[in-house]
Amino acid sequence: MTVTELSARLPKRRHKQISDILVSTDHKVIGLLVLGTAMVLFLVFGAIALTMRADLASPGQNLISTGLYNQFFTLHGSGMIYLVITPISLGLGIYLVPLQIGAPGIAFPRLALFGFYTYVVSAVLLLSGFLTASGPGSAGWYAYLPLSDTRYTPGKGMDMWVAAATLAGFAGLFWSICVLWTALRMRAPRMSMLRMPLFTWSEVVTCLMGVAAFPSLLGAMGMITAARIDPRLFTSDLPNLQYQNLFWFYGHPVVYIMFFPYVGSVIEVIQTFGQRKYVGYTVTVFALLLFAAVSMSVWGHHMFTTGQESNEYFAVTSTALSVPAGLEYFGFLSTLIGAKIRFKTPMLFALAFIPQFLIGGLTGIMLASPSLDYQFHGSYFVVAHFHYTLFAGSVFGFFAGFYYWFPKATGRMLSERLGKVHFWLMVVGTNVTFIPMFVMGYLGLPRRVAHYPAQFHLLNVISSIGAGVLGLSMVVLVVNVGESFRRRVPAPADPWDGLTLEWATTSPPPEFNFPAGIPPVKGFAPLFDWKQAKRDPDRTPEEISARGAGYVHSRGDGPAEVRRPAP
Amino acid sequence: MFGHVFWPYTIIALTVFGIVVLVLAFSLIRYRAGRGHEASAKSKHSVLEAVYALVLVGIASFLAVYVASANAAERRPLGRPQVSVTITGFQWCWSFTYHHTPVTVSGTCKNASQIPVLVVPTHEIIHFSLISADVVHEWWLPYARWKEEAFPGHYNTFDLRFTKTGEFNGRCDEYCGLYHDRMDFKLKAVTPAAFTSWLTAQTRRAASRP
Repeated sequence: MTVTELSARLPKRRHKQISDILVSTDHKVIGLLVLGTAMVLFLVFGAIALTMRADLASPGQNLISTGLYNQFFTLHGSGMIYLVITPISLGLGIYLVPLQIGAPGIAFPRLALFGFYTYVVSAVLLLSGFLTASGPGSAGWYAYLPLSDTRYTPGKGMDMWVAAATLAGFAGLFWSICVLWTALRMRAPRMSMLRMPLFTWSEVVTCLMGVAAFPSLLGAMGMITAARIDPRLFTSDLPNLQYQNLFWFYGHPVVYIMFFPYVGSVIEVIQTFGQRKYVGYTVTVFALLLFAAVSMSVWGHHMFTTGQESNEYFAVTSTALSVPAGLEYFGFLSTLIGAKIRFKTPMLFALAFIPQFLIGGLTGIMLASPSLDYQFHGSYFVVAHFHYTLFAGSVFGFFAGFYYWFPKATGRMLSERLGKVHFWLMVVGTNVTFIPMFVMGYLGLPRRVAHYPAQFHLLNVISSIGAGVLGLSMVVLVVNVGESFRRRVPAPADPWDGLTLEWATTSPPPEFNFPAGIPPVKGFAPLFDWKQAKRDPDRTPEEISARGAGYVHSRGDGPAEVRRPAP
Repeated sequence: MFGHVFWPYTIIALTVFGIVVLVLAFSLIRYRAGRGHEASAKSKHSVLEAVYALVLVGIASFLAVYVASANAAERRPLGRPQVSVTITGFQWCWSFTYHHTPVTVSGTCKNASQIPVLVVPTHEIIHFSLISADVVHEWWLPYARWKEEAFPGHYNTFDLRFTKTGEFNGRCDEYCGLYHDRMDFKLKAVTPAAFTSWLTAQTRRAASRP
């Protein structure tokens, strides 16, 4: 029996086995594992938020006990920050950066996979706090010392919280290293740094901050670990204050880690659905780098009210952030002016991002003023501010990217109709939920309280109704994804007429990504340039296909034609 | 200082928001695909970009100097204090100790009658020293637009002066454990004469206590 005959007799593997997926070194599989896990956790920690909003619908209500309420806001904050938005930021990088730079894979894929398992253990630890006698951690997501030591928060659940935050920090560090190295060292020929797509640039600056900030989180968690072993170390002022410095040295850059990749997504969506190359590429790259650099020296604005911080220095650096932010808005608007705008679901989310994040950004500049922070610190004004940046901003940016890249990643189209229903419910829900919080904070309602004075009743009811609408919008999202897998409408290689390289391969891309080669890279939008060149009658085929890779692009229903160059 | 920063900032923020929304609305209507035009091929506006960046730097510099000097003015001591009070935060209530007297006001915060009342005279400079007996708390008096964190083993100090009499609600604003949400206090500003007679009565009561 020959080898050929033997292999013909072996059972054909039609689908990838679960075991193949769980040990895959393909960046797309690892990326989707991270993104899928994070989206499930998004629903879990979102449900926790909805329970809190239900409890807050009435001033003295005890739908859940005060102790459970404290555990819930701790888990909602910790979960969303450590286990949802940060992992999605980096998971998008793991999936998309190699595709955008024409690379066959990611650097250190096993480290990225190890990061995924670190992340899963972290999530399991955080949530299994519910199984312990004292319940999960309850010291808030920034767990100030000495509250988080064993004198004031005893119990295994809090120990598990510290372990979970530590592991999440490691996962973030690993992924930052992988994505950064991929973008720096694995770009396709002729793709210089200043020809990287802007989403990839957003990942580069994210990961630069990640490698600088996550170790600081690990240090802070080390301090809590020490305090849980021997709380006597934390009876004097200095270690407790230094914990805050160390934590916010991570805690401020991480808000940009949880922001840039979504700005990157919005930029890609705007240029695709505006059908033109992004205006102000260089300015935006500069703005991102400036943002990252300045964001490493603004952490003290979280500590304006400690009475032990250089408030004026941090007021100046924090106010300076308005410069790179303003430059980013220049890019958004000047690309839209003169574009040819198609209002598909991804574009709707990207467009809503622009004014909504602006509310978060402008109130952020207000909070950079110590004089205002002496009133607003720790109040609902701050809650409203960071939900406008993280939810009305980042999560909208994420959904722009989600609807944009879902066909690429799954090979299936989503329903435009359900997508638009999801979008409008989310816009209404977001603003009804979070606008009243600005007013509540202005009037003096502190965050993290299960009960509040009756004067805040009406505003809280409005906010809770908005949260209900948000819950409904997520049901529509789940239905849309479910329907997509049931109806199996195949996605073409380039459904949106894209500009960047991820649209130059099949949906989903095969292992090693680009069997047909890639269009020649002459700028930050190689596919767009290639399509333009193809339309130009003066160009010869040789000029169009400069690398001679025989790349053929297809916008039809099938996958991109594969024509390998002759050996 | 709150009002000196809040209202100019609110006006600037609303103006910027309004401009962005108008430009956005204009571009969405004018450049929607349905109009049958082609997208512009231009992807650089170098001069405009440079001018815009300079304007941004100018505005940011102005704001930075403005808020830093507002803060410097706000943190400056008001002068020689007439009354000094030590505020101690503990899980989960407050105590107020009047210097040079045996008077300490405290409570348990367990219900409305157990909320401690901080009595202060109007028009006089009051010097506060703030400390915590356990975890980090935060003393917040929304009426005064003022708060500061209370650390264990460290005194934070600040001066306040009240211009009108009245009762104002205050509370803890840094999450400090299970009953953080009931850690309230009241500040009662009375005339200097009323304050003196109150303090005398309290001193006598404190002295008669065994």
